[in-house]
Amino acid sequence: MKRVLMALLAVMFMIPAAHAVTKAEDIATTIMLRGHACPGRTVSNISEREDGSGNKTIQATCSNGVRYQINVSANGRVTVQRLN
Amino acid sequence: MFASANWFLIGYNKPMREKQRPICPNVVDLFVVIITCMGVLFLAFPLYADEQPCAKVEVSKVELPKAEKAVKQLEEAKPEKSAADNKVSKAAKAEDGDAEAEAVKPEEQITVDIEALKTRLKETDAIGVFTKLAIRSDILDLVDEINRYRKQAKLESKINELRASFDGLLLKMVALLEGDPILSRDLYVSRESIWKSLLEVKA
Repeated sequence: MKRVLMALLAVMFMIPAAHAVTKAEDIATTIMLRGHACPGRTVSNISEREDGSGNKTIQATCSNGVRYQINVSANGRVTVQRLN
Repeated sequence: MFASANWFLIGYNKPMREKQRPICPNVVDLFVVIITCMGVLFLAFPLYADEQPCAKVEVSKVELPKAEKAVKQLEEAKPEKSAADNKVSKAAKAEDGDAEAEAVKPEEQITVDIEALKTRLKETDAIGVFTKLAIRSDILDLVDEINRYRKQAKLESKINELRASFDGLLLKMVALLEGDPILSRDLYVSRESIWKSLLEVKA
């Protein structure tokens, strides 16, 4: 029974991993597209906030410890700035 | 005393024997998980591979009427047709009865339909939302730059520079779309049409 449950859990984790891009990968790719280094193509400590006019700000840390801020304006323009 | 005790020298009763099996149960569990993961990947890959040609066929069925219209418009506008256009129109006209002809000449048809490519880029799962927005920003910046040079009447002199920027952007997109190889290939094949459509965009 325990082994069946473990097998089911493995299946549950494997199937989504085979398809979609995770948010961490998406943010890391965006950072790299703007010419910044983000080794491992993943980020951690993601924080998001949105102001009243529709501008979105995302902060995330790459695996090398550098923290970036991604600004997405209401009209969809994306800029990335290094924080530390 | 305990340090010298070996499991095979001690006469366990049955419940204790169950507990003291020589193979560690955690290793067996780990083995089961690894085998299951490999099984899932093995089973999922043919499904994923099968999905790609099916999606392609559906897309080509949707695109063909548009492609045919675009080719007819081109024929009306330009009496002098290039050899490539001839191939496209022939493939589009043969669409009704001959499905094999479509399979032979898919690239020429794809080059015509920019709108379908845009839709497929918006809907693909191979890249995330922020990446799509970043690519869109880059394309808008390039279009702004083209229009700025056009207003300054410097477009002709800067065209090679702009084309290099476009090629770089396209290569980035092709590399990012590794999870959707058909769309990636279609984008690369249609690069001349995309470039022409970008040049046509007015501010």
